[in-house]
Amino acid sequence: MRKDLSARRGVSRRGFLTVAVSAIVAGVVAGVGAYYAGTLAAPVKEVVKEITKTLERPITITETRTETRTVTTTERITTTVVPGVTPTPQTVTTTVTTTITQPPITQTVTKTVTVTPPTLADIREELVQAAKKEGKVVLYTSMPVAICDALEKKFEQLYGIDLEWWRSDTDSVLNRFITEFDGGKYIMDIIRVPLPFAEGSVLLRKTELLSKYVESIPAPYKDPEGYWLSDALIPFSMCYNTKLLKPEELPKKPPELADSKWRGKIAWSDLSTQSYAVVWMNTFEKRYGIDVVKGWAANKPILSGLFTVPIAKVATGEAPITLPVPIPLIMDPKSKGSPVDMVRSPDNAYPAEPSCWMVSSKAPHPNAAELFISFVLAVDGGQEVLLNVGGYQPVWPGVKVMKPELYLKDMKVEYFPEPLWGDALKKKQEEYMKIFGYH
Amino acid sequence: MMLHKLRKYSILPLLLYVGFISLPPIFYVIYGSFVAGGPLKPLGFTFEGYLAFTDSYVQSAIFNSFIITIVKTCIALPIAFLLAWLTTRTDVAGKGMVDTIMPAALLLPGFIAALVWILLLSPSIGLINTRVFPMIGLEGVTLNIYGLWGIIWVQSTLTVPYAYLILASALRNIDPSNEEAARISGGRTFHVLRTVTFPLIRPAFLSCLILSLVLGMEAFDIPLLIGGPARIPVMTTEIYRRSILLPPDHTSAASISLLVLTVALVLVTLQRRYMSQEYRFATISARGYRPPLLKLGKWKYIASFFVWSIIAIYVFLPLAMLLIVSLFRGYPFSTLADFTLDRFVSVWEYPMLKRSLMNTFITAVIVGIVATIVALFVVYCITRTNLKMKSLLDNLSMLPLAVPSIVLSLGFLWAYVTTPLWGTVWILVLAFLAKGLPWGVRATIGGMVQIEKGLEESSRVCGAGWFQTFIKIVCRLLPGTIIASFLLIIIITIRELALPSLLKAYGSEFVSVLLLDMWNNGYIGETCTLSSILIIIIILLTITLRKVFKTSILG
Repeated sequence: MRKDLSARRGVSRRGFLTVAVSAIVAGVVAGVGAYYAGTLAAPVKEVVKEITKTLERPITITETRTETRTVTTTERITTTVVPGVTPTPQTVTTTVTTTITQPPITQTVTKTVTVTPPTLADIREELVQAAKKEGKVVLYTSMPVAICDALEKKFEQLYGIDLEWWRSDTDSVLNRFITEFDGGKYIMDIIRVPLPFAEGSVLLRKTELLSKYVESIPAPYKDPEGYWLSDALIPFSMCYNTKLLKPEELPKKPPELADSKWRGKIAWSDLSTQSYAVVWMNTFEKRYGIDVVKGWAANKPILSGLFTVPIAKVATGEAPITLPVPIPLIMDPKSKGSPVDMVRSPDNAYPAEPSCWMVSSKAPHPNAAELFISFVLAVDGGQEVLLNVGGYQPVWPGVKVMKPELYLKDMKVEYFPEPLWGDALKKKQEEYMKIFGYH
Repeated sequence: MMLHKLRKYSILPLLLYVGFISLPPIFYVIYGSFVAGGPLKPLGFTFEGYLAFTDSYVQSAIFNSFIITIVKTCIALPIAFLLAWLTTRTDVAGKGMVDTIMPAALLLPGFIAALVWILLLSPSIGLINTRVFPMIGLEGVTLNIYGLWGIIWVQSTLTVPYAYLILASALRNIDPSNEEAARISGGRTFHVLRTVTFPLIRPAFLSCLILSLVLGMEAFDIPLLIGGPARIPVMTTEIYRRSILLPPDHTSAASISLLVLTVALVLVTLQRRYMSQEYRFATISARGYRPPLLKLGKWKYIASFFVWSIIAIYVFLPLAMLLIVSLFRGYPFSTLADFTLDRFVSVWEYPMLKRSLMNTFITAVIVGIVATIVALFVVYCITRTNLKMKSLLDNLSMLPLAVPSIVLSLGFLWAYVTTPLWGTVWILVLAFLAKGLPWGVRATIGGMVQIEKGLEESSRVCGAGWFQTFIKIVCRLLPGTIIASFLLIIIITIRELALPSLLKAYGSEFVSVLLLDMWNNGYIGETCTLSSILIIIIILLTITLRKVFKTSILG
């Protein structure tokens, strides 16, 4: 029987060795090439200098003293901040009532502080030039796509600087920022997330992650330590499908959705993956009570995504109504013709959250970031876009209202979200996962 | 020459290449399950990751994974076997068409299948529930896809195609004269089936069974899309969920990954044992004579109806649904008047779409080229040489097949976090390389073994070196196989969701991730349009593949 020649001969030594050596060489070349490609693709790490400066702003302080005679025995100091949603100067009213029994004199001191809202004209030319040299600014946010687009267009139109934005749900935005930062990749300049996350999630990491220079920019809501500032309130309301529910059928307040007639008809966020949803559910629990929460759970809601997904489910008709979701996220698809709308509150009071801007401590484009924030706070700049494209209720007065249907005139804040983070958040998450039948 | 002594180690570069791709992710998953804090801020040794197994949510995830996998196998395999037997052994109507359609059905992405079945069977907007049932008088009856049975059903629709292909090719490779002899001796059809046919294809059947079990455990797309809203966790989605929490819990994700990995590895090892024993049962003959097919007679209509309703439900219905939603505005509130072709134009305006398509295809092509070349070398080494450690090379190259995509991506996340590659698209390229290589090897090995050794021998006798022989003879004879491997790897890359979900290169998302995003943002019309376009591309690639590589790939 003929022996199989190839088996005996095996492989030619020199031939295979040639290949082996060339493979090693090719491997080294490929490896070096890949390394270089990787470094090219990775952004240049720059250490950013902190910039502090002060803005001059006209501030008028008037003091009036009146004297009246009454007999009382209490001392009370009340500070009221009235968001200026009507075109009047914003007033900070500090009422100091001091009662002295002997002799019976009541002293009322009224301090009026007038702050004029920022406009585009306030932005310094040197800042614009410095920003133009940097060429672009990178933003991560959970704002609707339409707003990001509109802001990008206006900003580029005004200053010729590219706004590179990335939009996802709140959890993912923070996740990406923190993960990249920890991994040594400093790509993002500005992040915009709702207040509870601004406070809670970065509570332990503020100094590491964020820069303080926004401190010098006046804003109605501000972190006293200067790490974030807020320019608008995001009101929440239930979202419903206009083709499936008539206005008479709508519930007036969220606790009404615990009624069994809403069984299988509610959509909301996925509590197992979205920490932000857990924060809001906790707020609802504190506000409406655990029985309402259990009532909602008994109605077997469809839970997925954060807020855009339940609204999308309402738009497609999978569920006719949601628990409270951000109104701007309802208005975005509505403006594109989707059959969704917000449930108007009978007393014009809505739960709301301040939306916060924060700047990375290692921002690769610090001047452009500062320019963008100044732009966004200006009532004739970003504020106009935020209200008229997205329905973000401005806290500054003087913002031009071009779409009255998006403007909640005289809106009252019913309640703010409760802070919740860390182990307490995890515990609540597990508790809600049990209540809502995740097991 | 000193080099002579090194000859036996010349397999090393290839071994290193392949090992470098396959091993780090697995190692890091094991390592990661013992490290608290995750890959970015490792805090130290801990057993906490394994405490996750005491969580009842994780336990139900494990339970669900097993139940879904076993039940869907029990449903899909008998159907696939019946289909295969009917088309290869009987004169049922239109069997040629079945053979053409099944490979295309095989390569459709899982997440598209999930979306489509949601659109069909959602309790509130499903087409079948809202339009079809009332039409046939079943008003009020709803089939709810958001449940365990929904997941089982959709996964079985994805299992039947590949089960069919394996079983059909096995049935074709058996010498039918055994069955003919049995029938001549008086055996009735069912008896012949049970005592002759089935035992002969047992190795293929077992291989198919195990493959179904492995792919069931690894399934990610469908449990994510259907199990998510239904609140039914499985192991893979639990791994994913823990990785995207804020802050992420990579440690327990790694420990759950280890469990999935172990189960998958055990199964794949079993399968490879059966694959090698298969040759004992070989009855492959080169005889041109084929006995006549079994005539079904009065059963023909029932059998044909069965075959075609299976094809209709599994293949045509989902595709039709995709087209319906793409072509009609405002589903589910649309009427016939809402017909529009606009979407196929307007979908290109969707932000990031063009970029993600480019990313996906460029990555697919790069991975295809590299993996095909590496696979060629690997297969040559395994089949044509007697180098030491070639069985190690064989096993290493097939190893990623046993690693679920989500575990692979977790492993790559850990392995490359300290390198400049992290966060870029290159990690995905490496991950896809790992995933695609086993497929390249499988596709190439079929062609390589068919080449007669004599051709190479004569080339070398004439004085050509090894490399010359390799290029001029072996590769010249294998253009079909090479292209088939290339196209197959491209398709595998395009349809993948788990890898690009976790290893996101922000700003260069893949088209599968973008599709999921579109769906979550409520653009179901655009989602279906893009899915239709993707499927058309995949079908075109498959047709090219089949033309170029005459027989079915998995045959």
